[in-house]
Amino acid sequence: MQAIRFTPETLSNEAMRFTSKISAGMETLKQVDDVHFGVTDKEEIYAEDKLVLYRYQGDKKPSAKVPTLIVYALVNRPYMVDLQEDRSLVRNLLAQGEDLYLIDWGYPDRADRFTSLDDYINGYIRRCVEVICKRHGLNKINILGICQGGAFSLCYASIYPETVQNLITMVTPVDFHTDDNMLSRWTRSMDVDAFINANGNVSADMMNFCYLTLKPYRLFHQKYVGLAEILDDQRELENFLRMEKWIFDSPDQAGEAFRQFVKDFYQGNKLVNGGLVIGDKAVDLARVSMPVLNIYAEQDHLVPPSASKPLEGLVGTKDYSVLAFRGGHIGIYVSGRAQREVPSAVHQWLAKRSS
Amino acid sequence: MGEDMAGSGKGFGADVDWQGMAEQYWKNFGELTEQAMAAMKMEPAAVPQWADGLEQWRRLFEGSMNSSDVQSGLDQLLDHGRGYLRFMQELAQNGGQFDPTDLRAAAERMVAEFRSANPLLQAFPGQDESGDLLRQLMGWWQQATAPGKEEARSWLRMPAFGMAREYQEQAQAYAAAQLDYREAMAGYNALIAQAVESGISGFQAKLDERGEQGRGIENLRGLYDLFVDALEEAYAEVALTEEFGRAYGKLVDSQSRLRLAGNQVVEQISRALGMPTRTEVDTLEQRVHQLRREAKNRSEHPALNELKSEVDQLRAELAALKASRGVGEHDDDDPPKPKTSKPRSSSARAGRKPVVATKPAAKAAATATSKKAAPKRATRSKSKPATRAAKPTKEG
Repeated sequence: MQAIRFTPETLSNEAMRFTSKISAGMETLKQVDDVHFGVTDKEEIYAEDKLVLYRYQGDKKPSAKVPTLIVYALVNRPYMVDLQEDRSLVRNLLAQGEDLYLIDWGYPDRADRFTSLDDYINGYIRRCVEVICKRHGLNKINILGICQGGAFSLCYASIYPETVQNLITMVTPVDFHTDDNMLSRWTRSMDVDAFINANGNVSADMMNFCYLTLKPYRLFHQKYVGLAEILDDQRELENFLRMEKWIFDSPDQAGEAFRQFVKDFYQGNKLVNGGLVIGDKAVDLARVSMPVLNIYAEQDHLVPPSASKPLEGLVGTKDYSVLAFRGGHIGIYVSGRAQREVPSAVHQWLAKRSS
Repeated sequence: MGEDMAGSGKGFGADVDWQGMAEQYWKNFGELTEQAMAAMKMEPAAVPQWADGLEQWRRLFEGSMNSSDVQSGLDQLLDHGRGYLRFMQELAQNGGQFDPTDLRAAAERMVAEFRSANPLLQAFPGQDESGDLLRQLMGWWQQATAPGKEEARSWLRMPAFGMAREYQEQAQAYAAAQLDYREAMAGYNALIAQAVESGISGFQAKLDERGEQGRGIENLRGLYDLFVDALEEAYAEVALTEEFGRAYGKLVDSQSRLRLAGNQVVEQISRALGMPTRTEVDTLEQRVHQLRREAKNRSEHPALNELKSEVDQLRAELAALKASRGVGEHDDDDPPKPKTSKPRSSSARAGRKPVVATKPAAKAAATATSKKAAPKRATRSKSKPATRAAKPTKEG
């Protein structure tokens, strides 16, 4: 039996439909203004250099006694956690009564070329935690680290365990040397010293190019062919454009921090192998003694589950939980399933450990 | 491609009037755009190409979108839509037969799209930056490399002499880095090409499998998706190999060396012209960064916090004393009359402990510990004995 069952006429008609979709979509596109994101009100609590610490303001007063600090990755903008009204991890957690803070790292420029992991972890994160503790009269708070921010949170929790009540890591790489980790394979052979010496900071374009070439045919081509299908749906189109903006609205990476991250995490795999030192402080995951919830995405091509799951065997806590989400690295924030499953799981886990 | 892959689906035969079909497509498309086209006095292409319609649309709507995001999205859409339509048209023109050359060309067009987006390619001085000197260097390099690679390399290793030796060495280093980069890029491209070939074979295998399982493909979008699946799978297989990792590392490293060599050349010229160089700015940035860190560390030093709390305690003590003596309520022109005050405790005299204030004094102390400090005169007048009370105590 032949696999192809269409005729030249159906082919021609399909081409015509495709073109018609695009032509009809022109009108939709003309009606679309700049896309907006970050739907939840937030208050600026603390600022330092380009960093701003925000506290989200929900519709009701938080019922949680211990606030949670969201530590996002440096490589994208944190508004992914609050993208739009019906796709917001923040909004859903607030609705459950959580009290949320978020670090916005800003957009590093050449003046931040020498900002290091020591600055990020022992400086910025530590001071943000101090600010929140002081505001609430607490000695410790919850931390929710996302992706690279999860790796930072693990380092922070290992160095300052006395300040972390509960630790949640989402799509967080821990073992950088698993076989299916394409990014890791690519970065292991590169001379990152020469790369940073030559480039200073790492431009957003370079970062994006690297990510897109993980799945080049889908992300450079197929995605835009698929766009034709939703062109006549303004809401869907706006969702697409919002996501597109988030993907490419990327900060440059501070050179020194990038150098250290690639060397110690991607190349040295020191979270697993040991020997990681941030500034003058040693990181040992065995010191992560507070309750830990590790959430990973089963179809994550950026942080494969195999990179995240080994956390269980490395942390010192006896209270370790895991949530396997059916979706990808982005879907874990924005998919309908994520809205239903992730915030409630996080809230319930925290609620059991609120005392 | 083999016969199976041809699919030879129903209706694809030699008698298909391709030209007529394409014209009909264009006619339909023309009807869609008739009014706007007329307004813009546009003429359809002489040889109808499906993808041409999208170009017409691009011209019609160029700059008319409400936001740059939308305009950018539109450009992407039309770019990829054209590629997709070309893929369709080639398939239709071949009567539904898959010519391996066409498939390869379609895959390579997709590869070219992501290659051309490579910011590394735009990162080299002399490629996009248009300094005259760099253009000269490039021309010089092209001449140098014309006879052959090995000969060029030996030429680039020739020792330099005289006043211009530093310049020549830098230029040679830049040209050598360019050669290295091109070699590295060739190695990387060879692996990508290998993945494309593997993807085309994988596509054929997927088609065979679908045919055998009786799961036919009813439309071109399904076929296109299958093609992309096959290409992605083959790419992932190659991209996860150590060989690819090494080639990738070599490419990035050679790019780094090329950029560094280019920076050296630019810096040499900048210095000659009295302009600041990247290295100098980096040095300044590093020093500023170190200074800021030191300042931050000092401001957070535990000893400083101890000092701060001591100052707070001393202020409290001072305020208590003033309150007990009625000092704080008067200004310089109206000095308070001496009051009979309580004797200081022995510990305070010894400079160890602040005074435990009486009730009214404690109230005044609480006021004084707020951000508003006690009046300057009063602070000055009492500062000497107070500063001797150095260590904080529980009582404080």
